[in-house]
Amino acid sequence: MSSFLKKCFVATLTALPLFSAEIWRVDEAEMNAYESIGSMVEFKMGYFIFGDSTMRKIYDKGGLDIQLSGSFLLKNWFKRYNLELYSSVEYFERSGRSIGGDQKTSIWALPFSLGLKPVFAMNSKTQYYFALGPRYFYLHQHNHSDYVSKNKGHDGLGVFVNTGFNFNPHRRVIIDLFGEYSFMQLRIHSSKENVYGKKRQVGGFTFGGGVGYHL
Amino acid sequence: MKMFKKKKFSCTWALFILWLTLGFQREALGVLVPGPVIPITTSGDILTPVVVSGTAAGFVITCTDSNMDLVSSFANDGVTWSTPSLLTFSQLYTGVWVSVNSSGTMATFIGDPLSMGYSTAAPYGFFSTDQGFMWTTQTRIEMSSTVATPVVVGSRNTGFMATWRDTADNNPYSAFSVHGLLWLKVPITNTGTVNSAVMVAGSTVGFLTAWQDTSNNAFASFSSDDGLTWSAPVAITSTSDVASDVWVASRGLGFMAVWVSNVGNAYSSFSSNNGATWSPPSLIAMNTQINTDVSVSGNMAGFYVAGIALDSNAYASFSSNNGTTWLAPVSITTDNSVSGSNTGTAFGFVDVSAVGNSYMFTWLDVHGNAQSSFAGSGPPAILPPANLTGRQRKNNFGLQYELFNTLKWNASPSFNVAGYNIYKNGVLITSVNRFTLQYKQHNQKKGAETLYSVTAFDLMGNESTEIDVIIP
Repeated sequence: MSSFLKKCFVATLTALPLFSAEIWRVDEAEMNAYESIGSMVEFKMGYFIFGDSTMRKIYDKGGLDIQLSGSFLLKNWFKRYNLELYSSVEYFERSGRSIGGDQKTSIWALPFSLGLKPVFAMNSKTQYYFALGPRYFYLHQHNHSDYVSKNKGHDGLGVFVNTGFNFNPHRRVIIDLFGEYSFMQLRIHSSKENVYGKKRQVGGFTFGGGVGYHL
Repeated sequence: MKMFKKKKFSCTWALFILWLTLGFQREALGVLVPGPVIPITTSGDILTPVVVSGTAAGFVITCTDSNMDLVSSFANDGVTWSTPSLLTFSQLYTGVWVSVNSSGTMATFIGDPLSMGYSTAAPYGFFSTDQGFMWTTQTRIEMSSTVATPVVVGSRNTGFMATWRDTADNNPYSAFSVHGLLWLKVPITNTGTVNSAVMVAGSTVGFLTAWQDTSNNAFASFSSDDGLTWSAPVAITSTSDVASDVWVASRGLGFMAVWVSNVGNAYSSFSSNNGATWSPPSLIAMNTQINTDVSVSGNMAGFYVAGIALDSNAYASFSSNNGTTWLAPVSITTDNSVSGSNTGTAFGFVDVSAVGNSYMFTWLDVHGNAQSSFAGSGPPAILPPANLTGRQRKNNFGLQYELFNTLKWNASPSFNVAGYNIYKNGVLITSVNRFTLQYKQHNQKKGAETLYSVTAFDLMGNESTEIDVIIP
């Protein structure tokens, strides 16, 4: 499952721009329109699933992912290529039942991301982008169990990469379709006797859409 | 005068020596020495005869009190009766019958229609998976309102058979149920000549029913398919002098029928071929009261009968040769206190249940208390559960996990199991009820070898031997 999702993600990353090659061919007359590409703030919603197969098996419910992101123009080349600074604050949650004990458990996380975001304007109304950078995670696990720690929070540093398309139905309004992958390994130490920690990948895949506003 | 005194003295000695001789003879036989009278109830409000049924695990009695409640009690060891449990529905019980098999206890009676939500009185079956401490299944056996009392119940390993006479057509009916949830009603015959209660006994091969007909003869019918079909009634007697219900009991592959004649003598007849033919009536010489019954039950040693004699005492007799000869009746009580009528139509009896090497007599006394007398070697020790298995499992929350040991076992075959004790490395860690056949122990150390033991226990505190497993 994990490798399948990774393949999907890579395919999205590479194939969609190529698929959109036809609309890359634009008239010189339209070039001025690309000048409108620049800084923006965006609200995104998506569906999150863990990259780790065991985590996916345990946390098989929920998956709401909410993000507030901003992109700030750093550099523009030929009016068509932008390099932007990307940052976001995110919240996602999943729930499920422990394997073996069948006890309720849930996880929520607050990742903070910072990265570089190259943007390519395919025409005056469509841009392709991807972003890459470090991500700080705060993750909280709540277990309905007397046998392990009930509430446990932990943080760490990981990386993320996302990609997608922006559509401009209006000069200042952006519709965003995106996919995202994050990676961070985390190990929890319990204070309870005979409870053992396990290092796991707590990042994963997010697919969704958003609405943005050009500054 | 001196001579007279000497004569009296020697008579006393002669009687004493005779008593000793007879006593030792009884002891030597080892088959009919009723135990002391032990009260089951002391409240003085019991109204009906006390029915008893036993398995190797103990004896259950049922009767009815003055509030028309179902009263039941259990004695694992035959002498220590549990506090009588009452089942109160404000019902008009007209006698309660009881039978026990390996799956539980079945009580049958005719209940008050209003409190049961019906417009007519009808027979009911109450099933208990324990020994009558809690009646879990309560179902109506038959819709007819013309069922005559009592509704008798017998059992074998396949289930329970309730039998009765319907006053509308004077035919005998049967209804079979495995656990009392559903009853399959079948008429035993349609001759319309039944004149008594329809008694029933189960054996390894089937059920036998017997009754007195309007010609005052005893008849029997056998079913090898749990009451789906019944054989044509076979006459046990032809002398037209049967004056009581015809009680039946099984032992090995044979059935014994007993009854009281119209002059108060008790008789028996034995069938070794599932009621197809019956031996000529054999006199038990009980000097039994008219209008009372004699009961019968069989165990490893032979058949026991019990009845109420003219002196209002309970008597018992024994036959080790399937009724060919019977021992001289032995008194169970001596205080003339057994309730039963020599006149009128009162329905009284001393019930007997013989199991393994033991036998139990129960009766209602004139003070309104249920009484018992037990003799024998007592029930066998409670048997342990079987097939104990254990394994260590992981309770995985992804980022943290704990290990837990799981135990599973099969129920003890003993009927009177109250629960199971679980030991870890020889130390009792918990007890679970009889319905729980697994246990989990959490937060175990990785790789730590643990010895678990499980035992079964009963309400009297008896505990079985243990079965063990080592985890992991």
